[in-house]
Amino acid sequence: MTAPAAVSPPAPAQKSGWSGAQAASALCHALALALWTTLYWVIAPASEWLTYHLLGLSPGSRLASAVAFLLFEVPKVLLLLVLVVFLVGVIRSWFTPARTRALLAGRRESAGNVLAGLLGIVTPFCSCSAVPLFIGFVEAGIPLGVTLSFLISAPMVNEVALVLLFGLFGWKVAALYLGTGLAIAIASGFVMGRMKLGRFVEPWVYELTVGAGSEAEERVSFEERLAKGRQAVREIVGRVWPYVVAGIAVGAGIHGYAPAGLLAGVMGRSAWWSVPAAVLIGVPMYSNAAGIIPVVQALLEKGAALGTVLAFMMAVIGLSFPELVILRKVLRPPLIAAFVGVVSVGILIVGYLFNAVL
Amino acid sequence: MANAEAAAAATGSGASVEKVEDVREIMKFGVMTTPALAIDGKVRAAGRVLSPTEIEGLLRS
Repeated sequence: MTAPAAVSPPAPAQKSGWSGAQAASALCHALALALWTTLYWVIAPASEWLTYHLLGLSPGSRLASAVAFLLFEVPKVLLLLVLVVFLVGVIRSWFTPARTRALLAGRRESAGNVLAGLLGIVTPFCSCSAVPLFIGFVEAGIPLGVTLSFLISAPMVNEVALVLLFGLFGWKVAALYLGTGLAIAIASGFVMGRMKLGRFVEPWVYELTVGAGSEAEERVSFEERLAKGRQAVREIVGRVWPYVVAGIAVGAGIHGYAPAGLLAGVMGRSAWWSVPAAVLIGVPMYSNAAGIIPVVQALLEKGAALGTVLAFMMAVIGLSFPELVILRKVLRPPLIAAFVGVVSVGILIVGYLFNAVL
Repeated sequence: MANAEAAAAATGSGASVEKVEDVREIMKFGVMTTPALAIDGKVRAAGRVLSPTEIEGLLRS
């Protein structure tokens, strides 16, 4: 995150135009983008050619339908992931947790909740760092509810989930997820702020003396930001690709073999209990977005209702058991319970709303 | 951790490396993202694992 001045090369050449290395780097990124675009456009014809000519599957058969789905969706989603994770990685180099904290410090509730929800999307976050981040926010005087808005938004609304939703469901569902996820983060944080839950934060958190400002902000060159984007691709895509492949493979199986309308009775709009059931099943499930979304897409196709499906995804991605265990270090059980309860209610409302409207 | 030890050995300074795991201790450094690296009590990097070469550069500076 920090590249101290002593290490970064003193670069007089950069002042007077591009250095050779910078030009080479720009060229490499441009070539990579051209290659990406070419690949993206050849996936559809290539997957059809592979399915129907090379493998000789007859169009319309179940196997062909499943194989074509798999061969098209896997490369498409992986390509989208690479591009978006890279861009988000570059954007995130501007939003370090320290800067986010500085932006949030001194905000009042409501406006603070909205800002925290939005910053949750762009600030790099790993639930492994949830505890130091929580303490850092609280020590900076950021209200508890605003901190919680951030902690709900950061894992729930993430670029991997949005890419998969965009790739498999289209931009409308991705936008719905983004909008409703943000709304839940903002509203839940606000509600919990009103509930005066500060006394359920472990007391030692308030007694800490926190060293301030030692994560110094330093000048980061654009080249370093691009390097962060590449690093994000290596780390995130490297970690989630097996889940993407496995999820799409299961999805392809359902796509090809499960009869249409199979789930209409269980997960359809008419089954009122399906939304709470989806949340109840989803909360203890811990899967990343990459694995769950392709399966859910296939379920939607077989008659599940969109609201139920959205509720399920949010419960799986947004409320994860490991994160709650980590947060238990700083939050006492009543606050954890309130956290799960309020967010679950938010998800339920979203689920019912979409089942009623769409 | 291993990288820091390798870097400390490479500089030949006999520096000792300590892994801080207690959240309270970590917070005293004002760090919000782990892993972080502090040299002589001053945080030099947070949120990523540094290569031995990078740490060596920090130690020598």
